[in-house]
Amino acid sequence: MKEIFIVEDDDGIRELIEFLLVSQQYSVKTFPTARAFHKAIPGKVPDLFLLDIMLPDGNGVDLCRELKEGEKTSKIPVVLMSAHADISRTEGADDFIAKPFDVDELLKRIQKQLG
Amino acid sequence: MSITVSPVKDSRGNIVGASKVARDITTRIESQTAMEKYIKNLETLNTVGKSISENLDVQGILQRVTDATTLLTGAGFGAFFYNNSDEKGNSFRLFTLSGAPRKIFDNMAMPRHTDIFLPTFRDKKVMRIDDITKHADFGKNAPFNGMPKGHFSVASYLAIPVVSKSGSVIGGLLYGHPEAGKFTAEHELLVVNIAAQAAVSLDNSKLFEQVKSLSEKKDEFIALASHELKTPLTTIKGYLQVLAKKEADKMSQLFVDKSLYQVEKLQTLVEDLLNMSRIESGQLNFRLEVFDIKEMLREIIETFSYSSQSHRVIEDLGNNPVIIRGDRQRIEQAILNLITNAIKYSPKAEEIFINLEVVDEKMTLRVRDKGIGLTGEQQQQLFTRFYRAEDTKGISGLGLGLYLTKQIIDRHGGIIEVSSEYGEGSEFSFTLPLALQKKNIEKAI
Repeated sequence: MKEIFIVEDDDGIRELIEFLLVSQQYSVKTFPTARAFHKAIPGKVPDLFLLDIMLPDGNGVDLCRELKEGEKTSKIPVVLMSAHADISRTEGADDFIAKPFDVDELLKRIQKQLG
Repeated sequence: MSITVSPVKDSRGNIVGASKVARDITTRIESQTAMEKYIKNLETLNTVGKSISENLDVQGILQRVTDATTLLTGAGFGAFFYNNSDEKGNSFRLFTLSGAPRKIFDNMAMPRHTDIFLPTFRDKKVMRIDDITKHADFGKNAPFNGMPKGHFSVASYLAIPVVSKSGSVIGGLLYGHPEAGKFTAEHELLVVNIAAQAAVSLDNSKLFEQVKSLSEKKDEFIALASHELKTPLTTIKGYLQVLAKKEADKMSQLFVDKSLYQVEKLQTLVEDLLNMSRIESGQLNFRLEVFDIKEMLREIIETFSYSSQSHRVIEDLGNNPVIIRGDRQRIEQAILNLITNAIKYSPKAEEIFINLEVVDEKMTLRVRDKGIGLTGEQQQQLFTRFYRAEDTKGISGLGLGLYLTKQIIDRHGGIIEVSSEYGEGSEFSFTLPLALQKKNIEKAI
């Protein structure tokens, strides 16, 4: 079972994505803040990271950079998400999803990254 | 002195002697000098006036004013002090300086509300004093009791308030000269005139700054608001899409579909806001393709007929396909805006009329309603951003729809027009060039 880590501060969106991914038989861990995510990172790494860009205590783009520079995490695909109008590039990540997204589109993109 | 020698003649015209007349021409020379000076002053006034009215930057305006007036008055130094109070609430701030090195003033206390300065900075009085050190109010205020140590030596003193249109004293122009009696009534008049012009420019400059900063704040707000709105929208849309795929009874399915439709509308509104800011910054991009606008209209009308319970759409779209080249999504948005408006602004009517016509390689789409109509003034402002007619309270909208519609039509090389009679309804129409017909394309190839 593939595992996905989600960092998303908005409760509604976090629960929605968790529900969607669990329905697709993925194993999911969620983190509402960059801090909570940092605590978990030294442990077992997942098969994909799904990161929101605007976080109350950090930034998904920075997290992505850290992951890509990290020894254990550099090969793991990272997908960024944002509702921010000015951000539409992947910013060093493997893919970018704009909010509000289509449910099917989100799942399709994640599937593609997981091969 | 001027001396004139004239011949003295007898009755036959023979010169018999000479007369000498000596005249004092001091007054003539004086008036000539005065005239030259007057012309020179006039020229300076004119130059200063022109340069300050063309300038919107405060520093530039005030430096020119201080320089020119210091030169005109022959002052030892001239300075503009802002009427801003510091934390202690009692001093003026040196802003521009002319005729003296600034460092003289650097470590010096700024002028305060003393008996000498108050009349100018509070009571808007011009103060022209031949010898300030002999003035009754001079040296009365602690701690300096006069000028602070190291101050530029001042006997002649001229202070002129710069008064805003609102009546508040923006600041004061102060001039000093080490010798007494240097400043004349003429100097005073000149500087008062320039100060008045400077005040107008400063007022304008302040307004300009305010507008600029408001506009920047607005853009920041739009970016923030769209982000905040999209967040809950994401969750709602997501769950509705999940529900839409579930097996459910007919009614539930219908309700979910209706909700999704509204969510899409909400998303469009948020996108409108974003598109507006993109248009403003020149970042709205189009994806052009060739398509049949009549077919598009049919689909739109069908959706409306299905969802609108209040209005019937009466259409006349002609019999032939109408092929145009454009951004499908944006054109659809423009049409939707016009139809939604027609329905929105004719709450008591039961029908709207849509007509598509082709004349001379151009198509014209007309959307007519029997609604509240528009006054002449409203028609003129209709396509500007954020414009909403005053009597539309209670009808929802951001005032962006027609603005965006016009931008879209303009960018497609089309023309959008409105004709309306107040209380009788409105007709909006846009004209777009047709795409090359198939035959023409073949010919061209």
